[in-house]
Amino acid sequence: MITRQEAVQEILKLMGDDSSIYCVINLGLLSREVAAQTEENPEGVWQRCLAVQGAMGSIIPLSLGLSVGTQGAKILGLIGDGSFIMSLNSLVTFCELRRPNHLTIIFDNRLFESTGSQKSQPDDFDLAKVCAAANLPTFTVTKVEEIIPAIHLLLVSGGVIVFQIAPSEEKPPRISEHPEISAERFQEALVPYRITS
Amino acid sequence: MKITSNKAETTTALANMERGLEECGITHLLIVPSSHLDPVYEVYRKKDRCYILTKEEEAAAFSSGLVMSGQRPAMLIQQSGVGNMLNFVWTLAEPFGLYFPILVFDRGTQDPNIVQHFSSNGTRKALKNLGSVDIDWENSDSPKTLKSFIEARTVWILFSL
Repeated sequence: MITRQEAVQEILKLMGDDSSIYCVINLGLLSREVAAQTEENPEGVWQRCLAVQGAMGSIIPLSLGLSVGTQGAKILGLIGDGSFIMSLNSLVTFCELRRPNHLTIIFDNRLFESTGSQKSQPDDFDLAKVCAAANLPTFTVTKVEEIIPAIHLLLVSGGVIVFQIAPSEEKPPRISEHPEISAERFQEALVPYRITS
Repeated sequence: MKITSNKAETTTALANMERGLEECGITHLLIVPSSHLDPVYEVYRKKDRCYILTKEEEAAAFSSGLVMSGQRPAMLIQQSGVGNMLNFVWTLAEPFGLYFPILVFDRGTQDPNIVQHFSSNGTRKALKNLGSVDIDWENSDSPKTLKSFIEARTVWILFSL
């Protein structure tokens, strides 16, 4: 199993090496983790990150909209398993609009960790199988060293990566940036990839 | 609320809607399908810019992504779908300052489906409190009216057919 911190670290490392990668992130501890790890260099990778602090379940359609509206950008949607389960209908849209350079990455710790670690799924529910049943290329990643190769590989076709995440006691602080400021700087960062016709 | 069984009026109304959307530079149309509106969908389908989403909240998130990409989407939904999307409007589109118009077809209180009467009443009350406006697509000036609403960043635009 991977920790949330390790997984975010690897994704941010990848984003640091490739300036065409953009990331929209689920509310709760996941977005707080990204914000915490980019805090020391807010002028860097954070410019290409958007922490959605509400709208649980919005990451798949939001990231698809970004992907459809741009050309050449690589769009990652980071989502917790609880949020993903809330938007299972989006697998239909994802199947319809699956494209290269767009990925959904599910941080699956099988808990609603942000609200007190309530159980999010029955023990025999398998999110990777659900995604595969929706005809989406799907990888499951259990080790840190698999993360970057899995992302590179699946960006070619588009699809889903499920990270098996260990529960964590770490609670990064809340994000203080106003959503409008977040959206303005993220949109500014996306300008080179806009489709103008 | 106006319900018309006059096909000519509906055709005029839909033609004005198509013209209005095009003149306002709407690049993408996001829909959850509703009766009567297929001719409008077709205009954007031909351009490969009409997207059918599975639920209205999904359309709101997709539209938000398009707006951030520099596109000009509009949603076209039925009044019964408004309740399916309020959270994504209030916790994504609004706080992040992502504007797109939401055209809401109100099936009204004369609809053959009695359930729609309850939906129409409730939705109109709710949207009134959210600053909704009405547009009469039979009016030949309606495309200009739509433009003024969009320039004013009016979100909820109700209409009947």
